[in-house]
Order: sequence, then structure tokens, then C-alpha cells
Amino acid sequence: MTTTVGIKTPEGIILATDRRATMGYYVADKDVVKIEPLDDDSAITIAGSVAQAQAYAHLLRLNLELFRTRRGWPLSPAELAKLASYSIQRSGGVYGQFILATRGADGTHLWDVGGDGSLITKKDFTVTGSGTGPAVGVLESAEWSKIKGLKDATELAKRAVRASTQRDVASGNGFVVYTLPNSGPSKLQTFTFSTEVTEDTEVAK
Amino acid sequence: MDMAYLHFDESGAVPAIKFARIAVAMGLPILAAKTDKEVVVATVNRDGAQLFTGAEKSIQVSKDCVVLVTGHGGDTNQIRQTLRDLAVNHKFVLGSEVSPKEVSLALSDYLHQLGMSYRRPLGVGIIVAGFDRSGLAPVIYHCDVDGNATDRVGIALGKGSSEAEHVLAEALKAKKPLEAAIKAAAEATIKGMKESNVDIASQSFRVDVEVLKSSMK
Repeated sequence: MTTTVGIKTPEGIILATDRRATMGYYVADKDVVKIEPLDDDSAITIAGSVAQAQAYAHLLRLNLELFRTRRGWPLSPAELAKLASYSIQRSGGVYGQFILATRGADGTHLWDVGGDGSLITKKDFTVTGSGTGPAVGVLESAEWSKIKGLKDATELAKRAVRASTQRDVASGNGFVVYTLPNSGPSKLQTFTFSTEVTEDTEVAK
Repeated sequence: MDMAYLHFDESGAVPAIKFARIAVAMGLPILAAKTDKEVVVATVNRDGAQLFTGAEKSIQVSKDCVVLVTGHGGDTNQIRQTLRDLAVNHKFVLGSEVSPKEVSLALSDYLHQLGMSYRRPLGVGIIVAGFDRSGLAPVIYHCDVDGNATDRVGIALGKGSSEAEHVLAEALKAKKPLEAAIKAAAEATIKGMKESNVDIASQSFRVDVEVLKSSMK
């Protein structure tokens, strides 16, 4: 599966994921981008079945475009979130978990969209995927009073995903970070773990 | 039904549509007008009859959308049901109030589809009024029987509608308050009806005016 993290701050939202795609025990891809920007004001993380998740993100993207052109104004954050959960529930569920970041006139919003069609709005953070345990450990133990903005949240999200890549075989190889500030352009950044081999200074006996 | 009525005739019109417009023109008047801040709608109903309380011409579809319908009564009921389904479906899928724009698009698609699938048009005039963009923008749309939807600042449909629109335009030009302008236009239709028909002259009519409120206020 994957590790995906979403953090809400007073300055906006951070989404972060690892970069590994697996087929059973085989690492099928090492530089996957598991965050799908839907438009300038929203993005979704994907964890689970890649085919279903890609089709799902595509469906949401096209619906955003359809509503914007047909009625003349975009879906609100709440409307997009409801559509996101309804689409899954209507299809009978998908093998996946999703974190949705949205932005509207009333600010940014973080949502957890379950594979069964559940929809939960998040005030602070959420984690999905097979690497949830280690990532949640990092986030639960973080000093939240020090997480004041997007920069702090980005570093925390990186630490959380990094922790999962150490203990979850289905997470690894790097990070993808998506930043959605309360105003201004969103940003998608990718990071790759170093593959450099270094000699141990102490030899194991 | 003779299918020729649903095709274009030699004058370029569809006879069934022409006849549907006649049905609309026989309906009791419905009116609406807007400024950039408010929307006012009005209906004219028979009044004072012991056995008749008037037809429901104004349909509250959502918090931000009211639809006025005049013309054929059975077709009005069909529109009412279509609107209820639309509002519920919209709320179920998106969790929000359906907007006038979306209602006008859905109704126009429905009305146009009737003609394209060899069914008679509905003999109803439809005004969709309210607030688009989550309650921010006052709007009025006219859904014509042929499936066309147009933005309007003011409109009157039904008996005496052209006279009413003239009165409405003059009142708006004179910068009369919207509510008074609509009332004057509605009264003009009643006067017109009474002057042109001796049976109607003895009847009483009531003008119901409603200033629409946005869900944002």
C-alpha cells in the first residue's frame, strides 16, 4: 500500500506521501507521485489500488471541470468532498483510502475519504495507508504548539512519512509534498532518498 | 399524435411549440424582476371564490431558488415533481442547495428532450428566480417551452404578459422600488384581463408578491 499524511495548519494544508508502488513483494515503481492535484484549489492523495485510485481522481477532476463550465462557478469545498464520498459509496466501495485537501472562500479544509465512502472532516491531521502506524506515532508525539505554519508542517509530514518508510515494506524511496496555502498558488514537490552506499565505521561482530 | 406537429413546418416553426406557447399565454400571470441586490416575484391568482383557493404557482425548490409556473395545470404538476426530484438528488450528491442556474439548465434539458423524443412539449411558462453562487448573485431565468433558457432582469408570462413587461420596464426606468414595480405590472395584467373579457370582469384577483431572501443573509 502506501503512507499518506495530511496536516492542517492556520496557513493552509500539507499533503505528503511516499513514492513506492508495490505488486505483492515486488517494488514495481520507485518514483510514483501519489498526490493528484484536481484543480488549482484541491488535491487528493491515493493509497490502495492504483487503477481505481487513478480513475477516481480523474472522475473528480472531470466533475470539477464540468460543474465549473456548466453552471459557471466551481464546486465549493463541501460540495467536492460530498461528491468525493458519494462517488465511492455509489460504486459500492473501492480498494483505497484518500485524503482530500480543498480550498474555497471559507479557507482550506482537510478531509478523510474512506474506501467505503465515509467522509470525515479533519481539524489537525490524518494518515492513511499501510504505513499508518509509524506515521501516526510521529504525528501524535509532535509538539503541535510549535507547528505554526506550512513550513513546520512540511518538516513534520516528511518525518512522519520517513518513519513509515523505515518500518513499512510498501512505503519508501522518497516523498511527495503538496502545499495548499490559504491563498496563492499550490505547489507539488518531489524528493528522492539517497541510494548512496556508505561503509560502516564499526564492523559488526 | 400527428408527428408533423413535432417537426419544423415550412415557416421554420415547430407547430407543437407554437400551440404550447398559446397554452402558456392562457395561464394566469407570473412575474419576476431583479436588481443586483434583490429579487422579487409575483403571481396573480383568482380570489374571492368560495370553492376555489387558487393554484400553487410558486414552488420553493431550495433555500436559494423559487420557480414560478403558469399554463397547463397537469404539466405544472409534472414540473413540480421534476423539481422536487432535482433538489433532493442535488442535496444527496453534493450536500448543497440547488441553484437557480442548475435548475434552469435541468429544466431546459428536460423540455428540449421532450421534443427530441417525439413527446409533446409542456404547455408551461417557467420563471426560475433566486440567488446563484451559494446565495451571492440575484438571478432570474426564463425557461421556454422549446428548451431555451435565458437570463432576464424582468419578465412576465401568462395573460397580459407583454403589457406587464411594458409597465415593468417603465417602472424600472423610473427607478421605482422593485416591489412596487412588480405590483404595478401585476395590476396591469388584471386590468387588461378584465377589460378584454366580460366573464373575467366580474371576478376578483389577488396579487401575491414575495421578496426572495438569500441563504447568505
